[in-house]
Amino acid sequence: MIESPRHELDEAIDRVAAKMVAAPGGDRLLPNVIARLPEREASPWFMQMRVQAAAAAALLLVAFLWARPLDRTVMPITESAERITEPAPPLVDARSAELPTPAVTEASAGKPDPQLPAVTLDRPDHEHSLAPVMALEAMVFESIAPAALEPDAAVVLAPLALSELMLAGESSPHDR
Amino acid sequence: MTLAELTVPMLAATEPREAADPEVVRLVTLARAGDRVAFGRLIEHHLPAARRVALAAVGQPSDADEAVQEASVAAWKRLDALQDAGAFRGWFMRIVWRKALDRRRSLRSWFDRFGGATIDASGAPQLEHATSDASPDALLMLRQLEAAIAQVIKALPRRLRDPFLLAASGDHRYEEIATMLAIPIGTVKWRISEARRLTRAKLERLGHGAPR
Repeated sequence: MIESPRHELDEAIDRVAAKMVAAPGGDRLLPNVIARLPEREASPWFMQMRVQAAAAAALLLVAFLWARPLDRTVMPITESAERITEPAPPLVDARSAELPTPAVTEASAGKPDPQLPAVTLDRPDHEHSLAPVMALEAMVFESIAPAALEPDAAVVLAPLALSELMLAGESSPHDR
Repeated sequence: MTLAELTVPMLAATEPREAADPEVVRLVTLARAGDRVAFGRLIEHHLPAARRVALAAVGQPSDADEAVQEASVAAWKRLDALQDAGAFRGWFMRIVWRKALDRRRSLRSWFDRFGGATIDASGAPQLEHATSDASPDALLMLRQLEAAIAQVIKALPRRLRDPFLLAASGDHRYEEIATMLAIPIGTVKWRISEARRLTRAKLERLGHGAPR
């Protein structure tokens, strides 16, 4: 088999590349390396585990920081109980209920709640001045008797009156 | 047959993946405890390959030996960071490559020392098959071709020359080269093929090889 010049060139490239990284000798390299090694203390087990320990500590820190904002949103049980038992300030006092057009006076004068919208004094409180809703009464329906209904009046049909159609032109049936 | 096998015959025969050798694990354990002899035995079998790795980066044997020594000391110090004792070879080679790159960067001018414009006959690689039965003219032409090839390879871009020379050493698989260079394995194969193509094209423009 005759090798082409291109194949010979590829082989020559491979040979030269291998020669470029060939490193003959080097017998003194290992003694030189050993001589340059510094003193090395045997590391205890916890030093060998320091990478794992650092990773675990980082995970714990992340978990702690992740859970912290959630604690702020949770209301303590004692605090919530106190808030529930505290009497809510009346929005409308008894005097305003007797007036024909009651206005909010004391409620707005009390401790304002920032969560509630501001109530102006010059407007009547329509919401609290409404009369109480009466209890619903049960509706009574009488039974409907078919016999009690009046009979239907006789139907009278008017006689039919036929008249010729007033047709003209080519469409007239008399022209056929 | 893959493209890599067609273009890179030097890597056609790949070695099976190295299994965790119990002896290596034992030597690593002893070296971690401060046993220098064990560490010497650990790196002894890898030093020739380590020198070729460093030589692919720095180009000069003296610089390569210095890089290997620095890498060995660094490996001795960082032995605790080795997670899998059975993977010592790849871990050590990566340290050697990094140290060789550091040395290449620290050189005043790598190109002046490794890729100089002039390559004399003494710098050309000596081919073993140049037997005495060849004519003086044939020997002269062969040496000129070798010198031209070496010059063209040295003039390649580093991103192409590094994987090409690492593959030419015959010590590493594509996966190991990809890990050392921190590039995908497909990129390694393409760069090796591209380095070969550029080398051949330049040689043909210089009058060597097959005319087109």
